[in-house]
Formats: sequence, C-alpha cells, structure tokens
Amino acid sequence: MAVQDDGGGCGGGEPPSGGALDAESLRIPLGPTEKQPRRTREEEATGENAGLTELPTEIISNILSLLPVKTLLRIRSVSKGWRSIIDHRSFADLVLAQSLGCSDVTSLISIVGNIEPTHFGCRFFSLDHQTGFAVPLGQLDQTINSTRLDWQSVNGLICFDVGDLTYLCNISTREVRALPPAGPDLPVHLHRVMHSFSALGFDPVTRRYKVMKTWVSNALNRMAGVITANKILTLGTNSWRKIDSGPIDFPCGGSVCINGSIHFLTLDLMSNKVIVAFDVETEKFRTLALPDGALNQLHKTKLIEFGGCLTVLDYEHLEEENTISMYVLEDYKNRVWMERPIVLPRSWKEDLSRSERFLVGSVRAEEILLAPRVTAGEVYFLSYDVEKKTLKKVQVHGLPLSLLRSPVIIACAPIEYVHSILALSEV
Amino acid sequence: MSSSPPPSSAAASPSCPKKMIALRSSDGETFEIEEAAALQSKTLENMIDEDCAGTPIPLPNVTGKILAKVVEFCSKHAEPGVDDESLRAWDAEFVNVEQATVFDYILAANFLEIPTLLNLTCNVVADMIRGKTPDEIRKFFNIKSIFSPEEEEEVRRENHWAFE
Repeated sequence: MAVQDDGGGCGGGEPPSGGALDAESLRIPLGPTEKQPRRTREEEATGENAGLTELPTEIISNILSLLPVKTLLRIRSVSKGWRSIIDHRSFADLVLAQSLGCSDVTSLISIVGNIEPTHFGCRFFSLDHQTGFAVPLGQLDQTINSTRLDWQSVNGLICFDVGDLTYLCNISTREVRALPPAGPDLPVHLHRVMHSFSALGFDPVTRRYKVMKTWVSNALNRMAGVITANKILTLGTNSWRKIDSGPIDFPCGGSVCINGSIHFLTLDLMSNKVIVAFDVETEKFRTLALPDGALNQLHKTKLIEFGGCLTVLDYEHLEEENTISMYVLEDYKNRVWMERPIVLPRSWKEDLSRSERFLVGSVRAEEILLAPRVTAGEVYFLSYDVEKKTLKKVQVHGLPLSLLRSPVIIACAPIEYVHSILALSEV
Repeated sequence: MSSSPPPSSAAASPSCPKKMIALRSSDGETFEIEEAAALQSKTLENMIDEDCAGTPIPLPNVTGKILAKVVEFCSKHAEPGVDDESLRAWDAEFVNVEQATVFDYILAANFLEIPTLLNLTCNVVADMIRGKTPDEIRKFFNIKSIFSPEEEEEVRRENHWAFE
C-alpha cells in the first residue's frame, strides 16, 4: 500500500523576522514611500514599485494567512522569504485561527463506489457546505483506509490506523505521514492477540499535538482480565513513550478532542457505558459519567462537539419516533449536562426512505447531519439546524458521473475539517 | 490651522460642539478629527488618554497625503446610521487606488492600529495574490526570487498537486 512520504515544509526553524532572510525581502521601512514619483497604471502592472517587499514580516504573514491552503502551497515558490514565512510553525497557527474564525464549513466525505468502469473503491471528497460542491481529494484515495465510520478531525488533521501502523493526515495539504511503528511491549507470558486504536489530541495551551495509542487484548471473558497497554507520541518527536493504562475497550462512537482532552465512548469493566477523557498535557486518563438518559444502549450513540461543548447524541429512537436526544455538557468543570431533545420534521424520512440505514454526524455550524448509507443516482445529506429547527437537503454536486451510475455507499458521516497548513514533520 | 479644542464633552449634542483632536503629519500638515473617529485607532486612543489636550499629536510615520485619507476613513466608519452594504461599497471605492497607495494605507493602519482599515487593505492585497501564478506574483510585486531553477523545481515538486 503506497503511502506518500512527507512532502511538508523545510527549514521552518528560524523566525522570519530575524536576519536569516535574503536581501530581497522584508526590511522594515521608516515610512510610506512618498518620495517615489507618481506611478502610471502601466508601471504598476509591470511591478515597477517595490511596495510589497517593504512591508513588515508580520503584515505579510497576515496577508498570506488570508489565502487558501492550496494557494499557499503554490506561492511557497515565489521567493525564499515567502517560503520561510509559510513554513514557519507560527504561520500555521495564523492560518488555523483564520479558518476557525470563518463561517464557511467544509467537510470530508468518503464514498465507496465505481469511479471508472472497473475500479471499485473508496474515494474522498472535500465538500463545501455553502455551495454543495465536492472536490475530489485524489491524493488521499490510495492511502486512507476507511474502515472506521467515526473519525474526527483535530484542527484539520485526522489520525487513522491501518493494521498496526498509525497514520496522520493533513486533509488540506494532502500530506500523509506514517508514525514510527510501536508495539505494546508486554512481557512474554502476557502475550495475547492485541488490537490497537489511535487517537489524536491537541493541547491548546502548549499547542502540542499528541497521538495516544491503546492496545487491548481479545479477552472473551472480560472479568478474567483484560490486558491493555498505552503509549503516546508527541508530534515532532519520533518515539513512543509508555504511559499509565487507560480505557479497557475500543471506542464506540467516535472521539472528540475538546478542552485539551480526547474524549471517547467506551465500556468499562462492568460493561457499563462510560466516557473516557485523556488529558493531552498531563497524559492521564479519567472517566466522565454519562447523563442519565443516555445510559441505555451503546450502538446508536455518538460523541460530537456541538457549540464548543462535548455532546452525546442518542438516536436510538430516531426511526420510530423521529427524535434524537442530545445531551450537551455545558458546564464541563461541574459535569452539568443539558438535555436538548430534537424532534425532526417527518419529512426527513421521505428523503431517506430509500436507505435502510443512515449515519449521524455533526459539523461546526451547529447542525446535525444525516447521511443515507446507500444511495443511487445522487449523493446528498440532510442537515438539521438545531436553533432554527429547520431541515434542509444538501445536494452534493461535482461528483464523477461514473460514480453515480450505480449505487454508492457513504462510508462515514461527514467530518468537519478546518484548513490547516501544518507540516506534519514539524509539529 | 491648529486651534485648541473647545472645552466640551465627548458626547455630541446639537448645542455642544464635538471634541476634535488635532494630528500632525510627518511633513508638517495638521488635520482635525472628531474624537469618535480618532478612537478607531488604538494608537490615538492611548495618546488621547495620556492627555495631549490642545497640542496636535505628531505622527512622524504618516505623510499628509495618507493621513488625510486615514482621517476620511475613520470619520466615515464613526458615522452613525450607515448600513453595512453602503459602507462596504464605500470601502471598496476607498481602496480602489494604486498598489503603492494600498501599501501606504497598510503601513499607516499598522502604525495607528486601525483594525478595520488594516483588515480591509490586507484583503485587497490577498486578492491581488489570489489566482496568480508564482511568476505573475513576482512580476506584479517586483519580487526578486533567488531560488535557483533546481531549487524552485524542488519546491514545486513538494506540493505538486497544488499546481494542477
């Protein structure tokens, strides 16, 4: 399986405002260049003036951070000065802040179907929710294996496992990077068949990304003893470190990184549903009790971020009663959950009637998304605005015609991603 | 043209004249600006608090030509009752100037810390960059690249998909 090697930036170690740049760039002028003669339109078009290169570095950074990631990757080749700015770690923070502040929503969707006559596989697209237009992310098709239905993105990065290896992907730059291999390092007598899962977390205070990997043994009788092991890797370093044990089962219903902790739904030793929270900075696990109403079953429950808060979506009764129970952890510190029942207009079923199953998800704009699992002839999502209580159909266009000629499977509910220029080698 | 501001409160009322702040450009020109407009600039806001009452505030980094326009911008943005759409149209007209003047506005907005003007002008430059090839960008802004052809080729290859 081909994995694209690190194509990210180089030499981002020096701050751009230092003396490290070449002569043609960024000196700070004393004042506006009023001494130059008035320019004609023609001179302007051929660039006789040198205005841009005289602006302070921070201003050039601010200007560049307004541009889309694809443009930024292209203009890295304009000059060494610009490349130095774009590759700098702090510039990635500027771009992220711009993206988070922008109200446009983009999500990643994955579709399994026929692209050409003989080529059946999983394809990824980036979907602009305003226009409904999908752009193929061809570079990712070979590398991301979409067996999981419930990823999340953390600041525009996703983390996934293929077999024993953990991969990171920056959706905006299309960079995919394999992390160094790791094993549970158990003493020989404790060897079992272990399965692993990885989760990505971000600590907003130190601005560090870490990947937490858990190995769980395949014990049939849970009470007889489950073996687990945990390791963590701080991005920017190349080694996994062993940490104290945490959850004893696989996550079920996605992981969400909020407030500097990775949260996921799982089962405890007594097979009760519980939320496990992993603090990215302290590297410690703790559990959060679920709100009372959400305790009943596991499979139609999902963790999402809603309005900046950790939220549990329980859609067990969606099909019969058109309801979704939403529990929002509005007061994180004191563990106070607010219940917000959602009642969908009956029309939602008309749109999804041809699909036997559906996926539930959420993107940043405080909407709940319903995705038909199998669809033919068109790809669409239903988007429910929780505040306005309105339902709308988001038709996806721009998909290759060959894909739509036969039924397709939506592999996972759309995951929202923000635009990031972070080079994975440099976090 | 310098005159001491009338001893009135900042709040405007028909009978009471608004408080004016005097500014002096690098080339010695003096301008008057209403306090409400001046407060658009964080730099001026700090200076006003420090009580430069009466004497014009010297701005050695801004020429008269640019300062006049900045005063115009701030005054417009402090005007009550202007709807978003007309303000946007006015802004678009305001920045419909030569490239060099846009950079002058950026430097003035940066020095005077006027977020609205800085944001507007930075977006104008970003729009100039958008859609151009690296070569066109270099020509347009007269940027000299000292990448060797091999180095430039390598940078292109690193993110080849972005060039498609």
